[in-house]
Amino acid sequence: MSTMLDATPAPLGEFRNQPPTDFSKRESRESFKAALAQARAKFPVAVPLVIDGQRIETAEKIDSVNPAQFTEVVGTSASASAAHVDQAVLAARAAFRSWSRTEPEERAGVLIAAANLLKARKHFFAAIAVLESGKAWREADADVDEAIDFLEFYAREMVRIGQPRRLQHYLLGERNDLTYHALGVVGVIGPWNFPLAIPVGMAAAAIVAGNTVILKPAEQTPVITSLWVDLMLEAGLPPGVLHYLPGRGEVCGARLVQHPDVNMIVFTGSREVGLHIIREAATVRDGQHFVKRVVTEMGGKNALIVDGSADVDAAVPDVLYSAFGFSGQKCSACSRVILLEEVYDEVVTRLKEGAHSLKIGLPEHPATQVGPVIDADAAAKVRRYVELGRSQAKPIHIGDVSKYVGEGFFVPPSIFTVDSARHALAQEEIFGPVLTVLRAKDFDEALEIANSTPYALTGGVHSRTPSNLRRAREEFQAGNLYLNRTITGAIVGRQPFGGYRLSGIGSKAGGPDYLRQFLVARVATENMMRNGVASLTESAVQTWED
Amino acid sequence: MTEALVSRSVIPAQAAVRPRAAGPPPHEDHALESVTVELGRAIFREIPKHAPSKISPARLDDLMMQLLMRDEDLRYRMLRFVDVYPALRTAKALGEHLEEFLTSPELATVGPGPFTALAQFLGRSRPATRGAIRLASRLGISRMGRQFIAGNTPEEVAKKIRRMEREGFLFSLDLLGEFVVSESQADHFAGRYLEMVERFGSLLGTEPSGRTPAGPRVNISIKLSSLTSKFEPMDPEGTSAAVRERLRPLVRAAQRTGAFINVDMEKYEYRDLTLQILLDLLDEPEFRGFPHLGTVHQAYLKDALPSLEWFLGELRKRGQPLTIRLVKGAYWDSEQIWARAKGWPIPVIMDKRETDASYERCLRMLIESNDIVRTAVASHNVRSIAHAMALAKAFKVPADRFEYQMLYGMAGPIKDALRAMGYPVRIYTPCGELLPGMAYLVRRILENTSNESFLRQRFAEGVSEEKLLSDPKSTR
Ligand SMILES: Cc1cc2nc3c(=O)[nH]c(=O)nc-3n(C[C@H](O)[C@H](O)[C@H](O)COP(=O)(O)OP(=O)(O)OC[C@H]3O[C@@H](n4cnc5c(N)ncnc54)[C@H](O)[C@@H]3O)c2cc1C
Repeated sequence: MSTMLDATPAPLGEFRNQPPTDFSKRESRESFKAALAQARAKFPVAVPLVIDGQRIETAEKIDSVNPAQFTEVVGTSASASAAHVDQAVLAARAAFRSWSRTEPEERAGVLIAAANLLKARKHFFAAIAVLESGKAWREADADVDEAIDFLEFYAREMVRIGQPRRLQHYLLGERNDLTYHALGVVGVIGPWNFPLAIPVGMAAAAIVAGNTVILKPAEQTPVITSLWVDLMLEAGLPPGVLHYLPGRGEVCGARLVQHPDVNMIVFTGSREVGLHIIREAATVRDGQHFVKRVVTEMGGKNALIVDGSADVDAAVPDVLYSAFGFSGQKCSACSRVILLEEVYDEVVTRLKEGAHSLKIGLPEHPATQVGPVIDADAAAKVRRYVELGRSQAKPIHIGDVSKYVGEGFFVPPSIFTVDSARHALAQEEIFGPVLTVLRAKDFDEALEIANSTPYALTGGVHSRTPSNLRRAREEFQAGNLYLNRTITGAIVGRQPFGGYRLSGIGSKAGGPDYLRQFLVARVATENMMRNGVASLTESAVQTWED
Repeated sequence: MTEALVSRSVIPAQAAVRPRAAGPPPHEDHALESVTVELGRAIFREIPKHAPSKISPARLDDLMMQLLMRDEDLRYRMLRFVDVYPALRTAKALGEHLEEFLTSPELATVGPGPFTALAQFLGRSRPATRGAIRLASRLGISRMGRQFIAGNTPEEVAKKIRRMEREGFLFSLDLLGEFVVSESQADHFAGRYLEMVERFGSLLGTEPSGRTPAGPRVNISIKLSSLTSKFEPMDPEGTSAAVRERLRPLVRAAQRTGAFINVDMEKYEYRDLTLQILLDLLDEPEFRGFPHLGTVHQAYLKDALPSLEWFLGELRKRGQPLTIRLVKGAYWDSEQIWARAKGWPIPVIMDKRETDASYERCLRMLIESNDIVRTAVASHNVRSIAHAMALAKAFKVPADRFEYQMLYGMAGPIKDALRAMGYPVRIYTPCGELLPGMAYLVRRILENTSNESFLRQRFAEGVSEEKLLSDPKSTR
């Protein structure tokens, strides 16, 4: 049925995370530098739409620039119209019938083939992430690793879930089969902050579940995702299964969400857009036969508590990295640190000194710890909050980025202390390198402050008091709680990722429940008794597990 | 791609410990082996003469250690408690934590041991009993701290060192401190090191006469990661430049005052960069040829031998003399955890006898290069030490090209025995507060109570001399 893999694919081994690059090895560093040069040699990369395997240029173009040096154009992408969306949906519907009936093992095989290609080109993809999204080396490397992990993980998940299940085994004369089936056409709308891992995770899950997909990348990062779409086709994915529509959210994104033949929208991005999608998706339009499913991941105001028993030597670097790594632009980033009285002065002093020592610069330089933010809007927003901090909070540290602001979207990494947990700096998502420090008199109050925002994405505690850690497990409102470590860097399979409250709906990416969201369950019941004769051969029946 | 890169760069254990082709013929190895055993026996005969034994089970610390060895559950709980101890600012906090650490079910990793009953008793006991136990634990931990950390201040430590010198020992001073994440902390550390290089000699006062000639009297061990806010193997050039910026004044001071500086070795990820920085420094004209520098080589690494060979080659190219302290390595547990978490090949050897064998192979390579390097044998293992002595004899290494080093607070009778036998013994002496010294303390407790520890096998478990002295390079 598919274009490849006529033989039965070999069974997949146990899932293992893709190891990060060991940059203490000279070969790794040289390979990464070479990849940066190799990527640059291709700039500006032309990014067409891809519909049914056809590459389509459009009159309107969107430039993707290097946020650290905005005169450098990384790529020029086409911009999809509403009509392109309609065209892609039609093609996706046509391909659905055969793809959804392809054996799960075979669909999984395509993901594995893609994972292998990606492993072979890992540093090249990471180099594009450095230059297109402004990530430092390790962050970019981790982005690609996570994409590889999603491919490998969901491939195995589909094989597991794809096994037909026989339910209810104690009655003779009745047979019940539970099976999972694809939903139809799925619209995937990706973010720019994990420009490879997140779109790949969302799209690969939809695809391996048997759906056909229309992928719209973030306007800021169309290049890296388009390279992955090419790679999927190279890995043997039938062209009708994945369509690529870079473009403007208000145009093609909006049409995708409203289209009556799109049965599911998977989105990662801002709370504002996420809630808008949920509203739009709730409206049933002419010709629509399916209540749209929506999965959204929308951000947080993540807090890390440091108590009096904490190892300050470990807590300070963990806070700094969680708050300022990738300029605070991870959904999981730490934007509030809650310090107990006993350690307040010491930790504030060391955070201040530590922040002062952060190396700001171009992400392509391996020494850089803090690079730019993604674009002019993001920079303006961060600056507004820094101004707010200057006037209405106590500045602890405001970094000096004057050397870089003329060339890239640099903003000062900043730390402020506030008196009230209700302060805007302690409540609103900034999505930039701004850390707010709060004081708590005891652990109760610390938890109360931590839970005082409308979000529940990540959170953390640095403590060596077992009972405080126990309480945090029970009471800290966070989809991902990290104890005595950084609060970013979730790893597929080990830390399935996602939040609740206004942080999003849907089950955790990279976890055991994720794929089921892309499937409908059906049960077939058959009466096996005729004239008092029931089938007695039904011995080896599989029961429900997991 | 990464996988390929990683596996290419890490030499598998087999290759790493393969003996070099150019060794003496087997019959000489045979002779070497019998000299090793003979010398080992001589050390063991010497040991009982040096009472009171610092590791006799009569001492409270040792009792503690003994308990920890017997009960894995308690050992784990205690290590966690010792770790948090310095952060506890009040007696109340101390008491609450001790109880929690002894009773908390989250910490029950290895099932109940004999101490589970004690913990339960503690949970139910009267306040007075609990108070007594708190006090005991406070004293116990400070005691343990004081056993391995010579003092809080340079003055306190100088007092201890003067006594050690009178007994005939040499020293190397190690400054404990916070984990450096800011430039101001790095400045602070560099300042403390500089002060020690410049002033420690005068703190000590006149030198006792008749000491073994083994280079400068003032010997300071430093860690390069404390000289920058960002010791980053990904950015070797930048890190080297930043570290050398703070290292230069120290080495200049050492040249001026006639002191010795040793660059300690930390985790595996830092090894190549640490050695590179040292070489970069030695390439600067003002330091070329300066002989009173040293570094450390860790034999527990799978690629210990090829790495040593490379480094010796670099020294030879430059005609640069250096002291190399050979150790097994202090981060054995951590290295495995770090590597597993990242899916990287485990860099350390996983078999204790293989580590010991690797140590002996590295020793031989060092001794074969004794024209360019001085060797410091840093071990508490009598077999390893005796083998070093046998090799030094066989290769006729001049007395001033060789010394033995041990850690403060460990293996007292072995130190005494070696000194009595006339060998130069240097004691690595940590100075600092308990709080920042905690990581060091935990490493020492782990080491002393580990199943594979020579000291534990010899002094706590009474493993036979014959077994302890057997050749790790031979198959069992
Ligand atoms: C003066 C001095 C300076 C030192 N400086 C440094 C330094 O700069 N950097 C550093 O890392 N260490 C340093 N050390 C610490 C040193 O690494 C340990 O003290 C040493 O490993 C203990 O070895 P041993 O020969 O005394 O004891 P042994 O009991 O013979 O050996 C114990 C060692 O064997 C290894 N080991 C334990 N279990 C296993 C196993 N299952 N498989 C394989 N190997 C195993 C570990 O390295 C362990 O430490 C120094 C030690 C001294 C004495």
